[in-house]
Amino acid sequence: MAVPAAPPPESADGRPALVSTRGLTKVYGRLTALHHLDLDVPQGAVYGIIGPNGAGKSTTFAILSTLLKPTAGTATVCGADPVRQPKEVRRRLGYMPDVMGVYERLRVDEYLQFHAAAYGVPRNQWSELIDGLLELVDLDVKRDAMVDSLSRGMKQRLSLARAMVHDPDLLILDEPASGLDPRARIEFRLLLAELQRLGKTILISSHILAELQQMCTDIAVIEAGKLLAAGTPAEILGRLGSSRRATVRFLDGTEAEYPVADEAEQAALLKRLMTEEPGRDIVEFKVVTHDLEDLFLQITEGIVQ
Amino acid sequence: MSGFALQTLNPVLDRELRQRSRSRRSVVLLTLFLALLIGVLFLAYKGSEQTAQFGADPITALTVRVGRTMFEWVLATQMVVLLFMIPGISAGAVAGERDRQTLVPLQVTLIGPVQIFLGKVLASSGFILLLVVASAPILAVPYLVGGISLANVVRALAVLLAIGFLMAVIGVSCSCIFRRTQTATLAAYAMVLTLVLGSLVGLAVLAVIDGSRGNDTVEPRIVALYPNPFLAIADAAGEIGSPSSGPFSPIKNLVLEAQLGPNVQMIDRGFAIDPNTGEQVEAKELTGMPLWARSLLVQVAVAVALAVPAVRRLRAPQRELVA
Repeated sequence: MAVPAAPPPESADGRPALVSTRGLTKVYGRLTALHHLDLDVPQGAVYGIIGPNGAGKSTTFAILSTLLKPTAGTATVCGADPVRQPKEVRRRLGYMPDVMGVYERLRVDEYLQFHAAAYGVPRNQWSELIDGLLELVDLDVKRDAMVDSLSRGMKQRLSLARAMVHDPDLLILDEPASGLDPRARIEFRLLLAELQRLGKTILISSHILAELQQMCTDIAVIEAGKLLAAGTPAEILGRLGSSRRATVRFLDGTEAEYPVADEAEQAALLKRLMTEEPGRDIVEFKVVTHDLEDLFLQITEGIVQ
Repeated sequence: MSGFALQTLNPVLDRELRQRSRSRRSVVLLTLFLALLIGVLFLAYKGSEQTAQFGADPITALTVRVGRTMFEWVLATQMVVLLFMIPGISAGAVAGERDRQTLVPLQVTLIGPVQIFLGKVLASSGFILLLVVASAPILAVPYLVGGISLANVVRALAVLLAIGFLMAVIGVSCSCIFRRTQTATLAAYAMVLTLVLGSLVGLAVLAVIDGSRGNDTVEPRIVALYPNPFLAIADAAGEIGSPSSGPFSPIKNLVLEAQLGPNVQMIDRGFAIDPNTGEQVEAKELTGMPLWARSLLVQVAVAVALAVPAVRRLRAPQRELVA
């Protein structure tokens, strides 16, 4: 008997959540990989999960992708329970693992046809679908190439095309940029921006924090299976106090640091220093903005909670 | 079946067949297999011919013997090669997907574990079907020489295919149960060896027990041989329970001894006396289901017993990530 879909939960800011977890826990023997994780991924968001190796990112993704049963807690993905209604979830979810496995002796278009068939996409839609996907991931010229002959960047893009072969609402991307060269990374980022524009909700993990800061609308920081912080990048950076600081170096060799909220405050500070302290010549005036890496280090070191 | 229908019916099978058809290994294996069978056929013919020079059989009996010897040697070679080849082909089916990290993307699709399992088994069996069908003309030679009926040939090929399919089920099951390809391959070979050699050990044990109890029932001893694929193929080839000098003679003689019962002294092939009475003993006829069918049924039971936990291992979500 089909289990009726639950009404979509809401994230903290009132946006409907496409993915929601409550008290999600996973224990392997003595190791607690996830510890009462509460997450809400709003619809249409690019939601980045940050955490060191072993933080529980891949475990979370494996549970949400219907691969792993949690020890306790619940998860809702696109209105369905990944444990009790895995097929419902799979129809609306595209999962891209961190490593793209490669089939030997299979062409790029055959690879996508295989997965289209596996998702039950009607045969008469394959041609148009595969043309569109290959164009989207910029692999249309590689249609007849063997999958195992592609470069790593191309394989990652093909893996993304595979995850989208059934036009899912949600994409779960586990370390999609790992192992890519800078150019391939930029191309991948642009591709994700395009997907967001197409209305996809994207749940992504990455070690390259600067990248997440650039592409994510929401971020969660987890460590040792626990959620340390969640919110928009601005909200989280705001927890550091002012994320912008002006560092001033004077001619006498002294240095001073001042919090500045924005460029107006920055200009006011400079004016004040010039007028109120005329005897001290300024050699250098530098504005430092805290980024996700600072935030991550501070959060995981327990400075910000 | 068109590629289109197959692609929709079982995408895993379609993909596997595409990949295998492009593999040079398949062509090489097929060529070597046929070359080996032709070589065995030739040697069997030469061997039978030389033996015939020293015999006093009439010409009809001679051709019958030559034809049957050639038939049994080719069949036995097919059996040995397939039993050697199938674990190697099938044990990497799922474990190899794990090694290549292609299993997880497959598990998150709408394809169920049974469909994945069947696709893998049928793909492995498909290659075996190709080998057996390609070698059918070689079996036609002994048929033309004489001594075997068309029914013998058809039945033997059908049993060979059935055994191939069941061994593929066992191989793919090992592939699902064990994480690594090497472990799965070792386990699959161990299973095949257990069926072949373990059944002989079982027979010996039962013979000792039977002898010590003075029991003269036929069934318990032959039962031990049921899991043995060579019993099925030897019986399907015909004339089991009768004297033989071909490659199936060891298993045929074991069946014959079991049919004669314990405490019976074999004087010559097919001729036995009871040492207590000094009278000649006739082999007891087996009634009911033929031996090849009994043997296949036991192998089906073994294959199913392995396939059930194997399919469970393919299910997602799991308590632990297998991939």
